[in-house]
Amino acid sequence: MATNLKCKIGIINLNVNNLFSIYKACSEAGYKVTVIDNKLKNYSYDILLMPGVGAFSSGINYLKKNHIDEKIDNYLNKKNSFIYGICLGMQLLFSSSEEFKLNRGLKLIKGKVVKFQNQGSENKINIGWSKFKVFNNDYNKLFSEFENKYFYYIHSYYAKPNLRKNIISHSFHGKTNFCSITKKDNIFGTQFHPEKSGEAGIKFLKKIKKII
Amino acid sequence: MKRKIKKPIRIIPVLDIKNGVLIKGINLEGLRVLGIPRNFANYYYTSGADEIVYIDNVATLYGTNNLSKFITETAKNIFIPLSVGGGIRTLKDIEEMLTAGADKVCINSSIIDNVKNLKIASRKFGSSNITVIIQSIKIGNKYFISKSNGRDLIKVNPIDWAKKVEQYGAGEIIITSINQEGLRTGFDINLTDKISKKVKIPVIAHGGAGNFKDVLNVINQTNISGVAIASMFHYEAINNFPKPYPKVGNTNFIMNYKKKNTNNTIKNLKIYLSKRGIKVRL
Repeated sequence: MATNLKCKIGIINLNVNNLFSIYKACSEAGYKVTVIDNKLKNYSYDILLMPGVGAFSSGINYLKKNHIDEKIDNYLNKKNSFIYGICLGMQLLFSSSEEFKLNRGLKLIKGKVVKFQNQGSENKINIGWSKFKVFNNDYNKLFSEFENKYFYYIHSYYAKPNLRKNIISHSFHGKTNFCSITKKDNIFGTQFHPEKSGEAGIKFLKKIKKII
Repeated sequence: MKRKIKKPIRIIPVLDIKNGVLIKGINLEGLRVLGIPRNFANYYYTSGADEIVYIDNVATLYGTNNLSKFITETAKNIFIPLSVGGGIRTLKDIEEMLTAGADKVCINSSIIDNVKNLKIASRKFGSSNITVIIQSIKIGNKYFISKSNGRDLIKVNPIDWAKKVEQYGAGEIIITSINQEGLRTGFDINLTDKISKKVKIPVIAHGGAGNFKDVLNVINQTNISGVAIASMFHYEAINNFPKPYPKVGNTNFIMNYKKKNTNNTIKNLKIYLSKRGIKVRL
């Protein structure tokens, strides 16, 4: 990609989300940001961003009702495509979730989304600031500089990729070691919210254009 | 006592708003204007706040009409979570707040009226985005909850209520002690402790922070995940903003205010806690 052109991000509008936060954080990180009109037929962005606040079932139903799932598939079949899911947006990338009742996800990465079980003295919901540890050595160079930084998490479910190679980093909540960054080819997700993680988060967002 | 929660304690400044300006009262009454919310939010973001809570104190009485606009303005330059409360009654209200820039919503009155609303909201928006505020009032030795900032007393025990809102899908609880609010004489540790041990969702202590020791005490003696603080930070922050001051409400205090450094910044509090073995995000 030519360096004199701004990298373009299109944000999927799930209708239940913190669009404003993600919009301003990506702008702050130097991207050209558009919130996608759901009537748009074809996506042509350097990065397709799926934010996430809300429940899995509401999210996936909304995507299907508006045929966004099909548009994502079409987009990902093109060259130079890249999707980044944040929090619920990351969870939606997986095959299924047990939230409320069993729900099918976008099936872009094999794995399922499960609920935090007995965490001992910790709460059953993970809200707050945590660090991550890079698990996949191929990504050490890229992400290890963030290992001593705190990122913001807010979730009661987490993704379990089937394949170890799709786990880029781990974070801890109570007794559970969960996948906090996932990647499979041009599909990428973080359980934490970089847009809510202060300066470290903005720096992380800037880094995304290095992996597309 | 050793803290069981391993995450860094969250230090959360609280912005109380009326008609778009930052106000502060004692026991949530006798309001005085302190300044422009955006200034405070930006200042707290850069000085290391882990989250900001924005409460429109009169929205419950008058509706949420202007709230979105003020939230958008407040959220513009901050990249940490913003929780918004005050007058949120319907799913549409929640959606409006999230669209305007809120990351979480805080509810109280509307679920006291009908607790089923909480279940509906947490299903739609996810439990973790719904915070319940419990306003506790102590009369004699008895505890009650209240809505509309203490105007209506409800004969329900705050501990029972905490358990109930957890069952109905609350993601987090802010326990506000109306008795301590604005007095700056320390938290209601007894009640906060009981609630923080009774539920399995994060509990935030609010109401009474006067100095760093108060904050340390409530952290050490309970199982809370965060501390919400207004006055203690505001009266330090206020030294950093230039005129003009807002021209609404009771501005006597701010017009006659003489600068007085207290060193009660978020960063100083975090350093203080960290030196005493409390994990913080620095």
